[in-house]
Amino acid sequence: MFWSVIAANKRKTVLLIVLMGFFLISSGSMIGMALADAQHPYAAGLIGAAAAGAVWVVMLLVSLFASDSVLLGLTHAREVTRDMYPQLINVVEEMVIAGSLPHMPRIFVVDDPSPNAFAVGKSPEKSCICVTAGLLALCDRDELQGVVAHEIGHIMNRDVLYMTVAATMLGSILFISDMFVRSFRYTSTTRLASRSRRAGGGAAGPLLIVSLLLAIIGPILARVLYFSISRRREYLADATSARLTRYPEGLASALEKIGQSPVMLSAAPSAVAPFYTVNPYRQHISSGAFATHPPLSERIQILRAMSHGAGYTDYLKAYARVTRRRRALLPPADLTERGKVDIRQASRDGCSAPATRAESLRRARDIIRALNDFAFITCACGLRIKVAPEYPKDRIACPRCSRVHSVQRSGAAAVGSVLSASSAMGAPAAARVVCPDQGGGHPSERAVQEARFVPGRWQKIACEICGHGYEISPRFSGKRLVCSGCGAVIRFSRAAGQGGGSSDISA
Amino acid sequence: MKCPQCSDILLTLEFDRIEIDYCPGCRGVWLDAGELGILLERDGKEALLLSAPGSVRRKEKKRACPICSRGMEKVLMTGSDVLLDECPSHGLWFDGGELSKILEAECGDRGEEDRTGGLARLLDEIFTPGKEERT
Repeated sequence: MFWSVIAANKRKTVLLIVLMGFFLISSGSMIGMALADAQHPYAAGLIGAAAAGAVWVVMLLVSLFASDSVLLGLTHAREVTRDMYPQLINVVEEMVIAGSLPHMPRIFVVDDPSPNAFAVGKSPEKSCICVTAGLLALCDRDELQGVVAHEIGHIMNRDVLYMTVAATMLGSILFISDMFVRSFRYTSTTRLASRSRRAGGGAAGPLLIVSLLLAIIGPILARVLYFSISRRREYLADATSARLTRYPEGLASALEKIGQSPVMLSAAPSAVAPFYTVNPYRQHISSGAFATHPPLSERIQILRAMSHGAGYTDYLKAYARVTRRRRALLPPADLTERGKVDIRQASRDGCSAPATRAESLRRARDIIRALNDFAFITCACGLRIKVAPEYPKDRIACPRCSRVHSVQRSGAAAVGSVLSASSAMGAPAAARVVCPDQGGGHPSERAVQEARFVPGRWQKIACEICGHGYEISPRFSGKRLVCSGCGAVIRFSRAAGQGGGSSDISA
Repeated sequence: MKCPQCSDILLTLEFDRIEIDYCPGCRGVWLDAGELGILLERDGKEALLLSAPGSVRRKEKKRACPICSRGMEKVLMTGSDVLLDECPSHGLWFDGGELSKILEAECGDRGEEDRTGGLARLLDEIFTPGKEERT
């Protein structure tokens, strides 16, 4: 625990609230005065200030009491449970124990193919960790652990408190200046210009300039202040991650993968940007005063330079060596670490390795879709149709074979079916890693499906796993069929007295 | 997600571990950037073809990206005259039949047996049923 960092974060939070209040109220009054009639500029200024003050109070209340739900709502995150993501929950639990957090954070997943993660909440007791589906698909266990530990670091250092308040405050400033710019552009341009001509360039001119300046500089200042502060804390969260996992390479390789991913976050409002492990807008704003995050390459370099140990002191040494900055990241009094923290070996997670990136991304997105009330229809022709809750009709024709299906939404129950489908999905693929401890035969033999067979006529069936289609002859007398596409077993149930053959066929 | 052309709700179709978003109204196809990345890993050539189109200026009306609602850029497919809509960060939109036309043009020359690329097969499979095996 970095006590001075925690204290500084709390202090800065209060200071920020006061400063932002001052900014908001003064810019509100300026805007009011600029837009008012020439006779009553001060009354209008007061009204503007009062309006801005009201907005400030509302934003303050929201940021202190409802910020997590607002921010999670903005990113469309959904809470997940152990059955859905046992590995993710295990990793978070390990890191919570390693970091001695008083409470297990709630865990959310965002339906987004871009890999990233963030944490919100005003205290370690009430915090949430949010990862994207892309991250789950891209990272192995060690990398996921590194990213989760980075977020736990933010929670431990109370960065999330400061950032949550700052994000809401920044949002309010941007909101007010945006309103001003809009009203100025659409309604007052002509009125103000004619008025200043009438007044002979009197009071309205300077007032207009001042308010314009305020409206332009205010948000810029707010951003510079807010963004620049979050850089040092990223280094410290990286240090915490290395210390908790005792494996700096995990986070380093996760950051590298995230940096190389070409996919951009689709649902990240700019106010949420600083929360993420890696800045989602990295292509546009990469460095300088506006950067919310230090350069990725530097963070990776520091983590990889920690060759002698995984402790805080090792991180600080690596930081000094790589960045060549004289100013230390932490005051020496904060380093309470005793002894040496050794780097552990990479974990052998053969059992839990996701089959392929595509499969785990699909699985993650399907789970979120199921949570979002999508309907899942598997057509007999093998096509899987995922229907959004907004879809207006009750019936749907399969685009492939034109069979008509009724759209039934089973809500949370769908999650179970997605889980069973996705665990069977791809099971026979060569890339699937089978844990030797689990025993059992070839994985394909564990995927058994039931199908009804009516003897006496031609019948079409499809493998539920790979979608491979079969046409069954009326003279078929077997009990089961091994799918030639994926190796899964399709077992037939038939009316008594029919068939009776014992031949197993392999298609 | 809504169709950029006719505002119908898009359906997500999954076949052989590839996923596309399909508009039942105009038969247009949306290829997610994430999906494109997966395709690039699976069968490089084909996806590379889709991931590197050249941008052009056309007077055609800009369509909104189904994810971020910003105007998409008009891009011209390399080696063909098919005009697509691209959102640089989220994906590609193909009007009804465009995607099959491109893949036809590119993969058709190599003969039927060579057409094992995932996307071409997927579209082929999705839109031409009745290729089941007889048992």
